[in-house]
Amino acid sequence: MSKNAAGVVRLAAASLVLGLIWCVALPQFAATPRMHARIEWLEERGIDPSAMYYTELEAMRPILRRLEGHGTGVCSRD
Amino acid sequence: MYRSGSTPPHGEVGLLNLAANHISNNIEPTRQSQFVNDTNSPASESPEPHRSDVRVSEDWLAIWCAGILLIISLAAVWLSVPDEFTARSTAGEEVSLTSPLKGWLGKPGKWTESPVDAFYRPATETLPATNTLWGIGGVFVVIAVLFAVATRIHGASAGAFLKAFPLVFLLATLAYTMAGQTVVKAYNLEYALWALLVGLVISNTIGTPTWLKPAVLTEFYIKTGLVLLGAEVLMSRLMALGVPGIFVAWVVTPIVLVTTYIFGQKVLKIPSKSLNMVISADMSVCGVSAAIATAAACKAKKEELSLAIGLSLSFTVVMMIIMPAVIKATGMSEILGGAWLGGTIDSTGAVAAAGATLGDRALEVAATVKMIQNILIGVTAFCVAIYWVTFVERDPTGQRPGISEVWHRFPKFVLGFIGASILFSLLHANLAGGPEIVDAMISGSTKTLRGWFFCLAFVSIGLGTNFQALMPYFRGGKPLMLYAFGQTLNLTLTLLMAWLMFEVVFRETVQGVMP
Repeated sequence: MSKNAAGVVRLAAASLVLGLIWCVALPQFAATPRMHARIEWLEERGIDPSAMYYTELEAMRPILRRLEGHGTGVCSRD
Repeated sequence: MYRSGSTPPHGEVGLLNLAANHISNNIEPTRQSQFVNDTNSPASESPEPHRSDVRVSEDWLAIWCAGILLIISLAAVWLSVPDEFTARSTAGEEVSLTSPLKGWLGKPGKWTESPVDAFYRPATETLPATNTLWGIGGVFVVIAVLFAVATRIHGASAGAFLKAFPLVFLLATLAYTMAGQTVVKAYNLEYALWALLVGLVISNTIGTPTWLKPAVLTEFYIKTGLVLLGAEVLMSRLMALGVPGIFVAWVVTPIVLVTTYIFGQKVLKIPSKSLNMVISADMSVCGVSAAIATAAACKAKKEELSLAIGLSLSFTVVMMIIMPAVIKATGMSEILGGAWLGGTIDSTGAVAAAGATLGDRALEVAATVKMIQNILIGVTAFCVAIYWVTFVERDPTGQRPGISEVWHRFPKFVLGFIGASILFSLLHANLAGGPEIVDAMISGSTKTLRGWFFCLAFVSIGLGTNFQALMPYFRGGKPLMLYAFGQTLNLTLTLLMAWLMFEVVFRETVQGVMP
């Protein structure tokens, strides 16, 4: 088998594995009662555990509104 | 590779070099590391550009590109502000603003059963239909046009870039779609990881085609994304938790960062200073975003950034599950537990998920401590860049470089990052309705674009990386030992400081604010 053909076969195999994981295994895992409950729980609270920065976190909005509505920070409220 | 004593300033290596990105398997310990710039390109040997060329150097182009995007994004919100907005906002009334660009800039959404849902989801009884295709198309057009012009200004072929960019963008879209699966999201497996994987699969099977390389602009994507990120680093939110928050996030964090770095150099004797620094920063500050900023500031190799992110995400998954259990088992208060989580778990989203497990107060404290730590990114990147050009990159005679040399070598995009942070912090704090305007700009446009730039960067890293190049980093397990040492120190010091601040010194005040 030529080098190019071997590369194409490897790419197809990798794509197949990834496709099976994402399109079959993960949806099935998401449907298990425990995982389903976990996903619902996170969505209800506006939490995206994969958020990289605080601006990507929906749950941060009410927190900031409350803290900024108070004025400054904790210690200024003596 | 840069020759000793003739290191060009960071960012002066052209887009052409990056476009010609060859894979460097050379990880010679003492070599002058350079962020994502691969080193076999003949163009790397070209003489230093004139100082007058600085206007079109990559760093400055990144600042220009991000600056244009920030101006347009701010103007779009500004011009759409309703007449009565300022009066209502000044009166303390809650007014929400939305950027008119929001519908035109998007990314694949989350999905559970079918990846098609990431792009289009028909209306249900409770939810309206969603279509992210327009938004994705909008981002594609914006970045393609902007970078084609930048590429042309830099002297490379805009046509070659435009020919290659659609596929690189498609791979980034695939990575975002993989990251959008709800199980993947629930375990904090960020898009950076999947972007890297998608690129690695291509480069390690069929190989990255030559015609694709003009759009494999890792460093340029990252620098532009970082300047955009600067607008999200709002110093005005630094005092959100007052003095206790500052002590937990801004006193412990630098101590852990510096100690871990010194430990890596003196005890573990990690050959690559940049790897040592990137791991120290991503472990002590806030994970992937800090790793990206620090890697760019200290010119780490792409493999080093990949390794640091892999370590961070692996530990984060474990910590977000174990730490709440430990906190509950020990009977720690929600506030102390939240502060501990916020100061130690790397990733912002994982902090929130772990905090929410303990309760609403823990979520609030944890997320706010992490936010304050997020803001430290700018200062960290600036200090690391200064340290690098002043101490690490000084010539072999040991002579400290003068001010002009420091300026010459300094990664200029960091100035754009800091400048955006200062400007938008001032607007956020002083403008009438500033918080609403700046928040609408960030959530409606710049946050989305910044995410795409980082995603494109990680796809590019994957496309330029050979698995074999990663292997030597795992030998001896030093990066793992460094991370474990740093995180242990972080856990100990943060717990101590959080207990002192939230349970002893400011106990009554904190209880009053968070009953």
